Amino acid sequence: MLQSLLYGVAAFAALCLAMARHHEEALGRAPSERRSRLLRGLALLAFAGSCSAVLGRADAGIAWAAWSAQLSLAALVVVALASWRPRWLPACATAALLAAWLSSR
Amino acid sequence: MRLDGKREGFRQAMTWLHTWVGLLLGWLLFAIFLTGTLAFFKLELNHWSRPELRGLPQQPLALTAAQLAQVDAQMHQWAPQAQSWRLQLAEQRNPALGLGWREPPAQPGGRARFEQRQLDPRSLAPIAARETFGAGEFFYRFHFELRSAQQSQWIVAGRWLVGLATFAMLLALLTGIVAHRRFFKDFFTFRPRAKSAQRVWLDAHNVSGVLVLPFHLLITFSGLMIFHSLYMPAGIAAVYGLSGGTYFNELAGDPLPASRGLRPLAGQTQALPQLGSAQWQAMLDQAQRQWPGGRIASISLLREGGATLVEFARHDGDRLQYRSPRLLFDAQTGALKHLADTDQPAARSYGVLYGLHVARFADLPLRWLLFGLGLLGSAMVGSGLMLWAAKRQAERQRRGLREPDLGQRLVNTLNLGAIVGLPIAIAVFFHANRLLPLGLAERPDRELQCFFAAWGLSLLHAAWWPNRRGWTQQLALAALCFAALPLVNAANSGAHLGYSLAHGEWLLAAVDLGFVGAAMLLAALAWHSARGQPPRRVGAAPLTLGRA
Repeated sequence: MLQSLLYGVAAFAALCLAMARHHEEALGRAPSERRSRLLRGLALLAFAGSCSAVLGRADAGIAWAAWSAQLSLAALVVVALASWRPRWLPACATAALLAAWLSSR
Repeated sequence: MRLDGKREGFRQAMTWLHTWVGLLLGWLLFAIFLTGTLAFFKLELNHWSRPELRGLPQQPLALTAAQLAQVDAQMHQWAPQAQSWRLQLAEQRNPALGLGWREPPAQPGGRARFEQRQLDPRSLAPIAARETFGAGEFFYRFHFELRSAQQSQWIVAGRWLVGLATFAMLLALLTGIVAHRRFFKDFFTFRPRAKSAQRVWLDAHNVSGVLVLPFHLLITFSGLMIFHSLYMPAGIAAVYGLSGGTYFNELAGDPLPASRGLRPLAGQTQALPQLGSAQWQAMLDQAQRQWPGGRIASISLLREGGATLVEFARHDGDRLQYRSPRLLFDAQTGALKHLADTDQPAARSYGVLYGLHVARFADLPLRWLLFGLGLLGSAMVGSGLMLWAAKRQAERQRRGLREPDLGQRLVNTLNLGAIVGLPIAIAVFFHANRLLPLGLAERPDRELQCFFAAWGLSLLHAAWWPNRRGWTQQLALAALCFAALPLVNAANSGAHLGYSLAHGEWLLAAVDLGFVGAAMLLAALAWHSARGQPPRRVGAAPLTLGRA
């Protein structure tokens, strides 16, 4: 289940970075329109990845309940980073995405 | 609702509702949320409350038919008159066996006495554990019925009050979504170093509300649904008749009343039959065939409607839907009579909502996560209350008024008494569990009295100092109370950290470490509160904890 949490962190981080203020805090400048769209698309893919970690499990009900709780945790992690260490956000998101992808293989 | 009669927008109306519903029931909601959060660890906290139960195997052993026959024989010695008994099996969250039964009343019409003994799962020897309400049990009971004593006459009133508060919570959540102007824009925004205290509390309120909104909505709605029959009996009565009995049978998919075995027929006094090891083995085998890989939570022998039955209840954590299925056997022949369970859509929906609320399905990581989300729910309620006070104070300061008015003083008092008074009372309950003399009469009631007395004293203190000084003092006191718990535990019982860590008894160690964590959190808040104290201005000290 760690996998869907990691995907969730990556997804929320991408959503966060797609917003002008957070992008500026993290990377020093506002994102271009294209980059914002790209980040949102990436977030969507990462959310799909987070769902895919749950799909097909025998105890689907319990898995979905756990998934929604993990999504909240992922969002909290991203908010904590965005508040205290915004510059770490891009690197953490990439690491989370990589780790999630590697663990799904 | 505007006094000047001007038109107002939908958002303003919802904001008004959110503010006042949240304020009026916020103090109660904070207590319901926090104790409910602790109730996620009901079994673990109950285990901590009985340090005599240390040293049992931490991985549950499978119960054998020979052991069941031994318990059965033991019951005939301990309580030959009992008309039912139930054996609660050991599990990962609770290493002792629990054997419970009802002694028939001493005189006709009297109250049946409930007896409970803890057994060692290896030898089946009873363990003399202290008389206690059980910390987990108490927080659980307080959470949904504001339990104030073992035999409280206010239970139904308490459930109604909690129901009212839960409805207010649902209303506050829904109106809060409307009232939050920048729901998506501020989704990731938390500025702990903002200039104004009001800003910090608003951010904290938004973040703890929005990010965890699915949990808040679900826990509130399911909490409201659990007691639907209490709040809305008329619909059930219209279809099922006034007693409503068969409604609950259908809801559970169970032909027997939920109180089975508890009300023996008048004049029924002959002893329960004693079953042999072979009979128990046959039933155990059948249960395992029915539930491959499933856990059995409890086994009962009981009389209902003239028949003697054996009931196997599956562990509630094996699926989302609550309650778990039950297998009923004829005690004489060992034949399977029925499987009590439901797959009716409406009943299952109810069961799933119930199951999501009580979260018996959660494994340890998920349980901790839900505990954290529950704490954030409490933080959401608490920060909302603080926001009201900070906003009111900022408004008055803009108008050049220094001294708080009566309403503000009242809110500040109740905020302090609710938000810090409750943690103090919780710590005092744990202290009472360890420090009250073991032979004390009605010891569980005394534990509860300590809890409520501590809470009351905190409220008095808060009425005297409804200002930053009061906050700092109470937060520091709460931190001290929690920090002292592992020490009192070490001085007073053998189940302390030195023992539990050395023996790998994480059930006990985690609770003690949790106290340390709570102490550190409260100490950090106390430090924050003290640091924000403006020098040489005691009278009109601001009442907020943010970095002003």
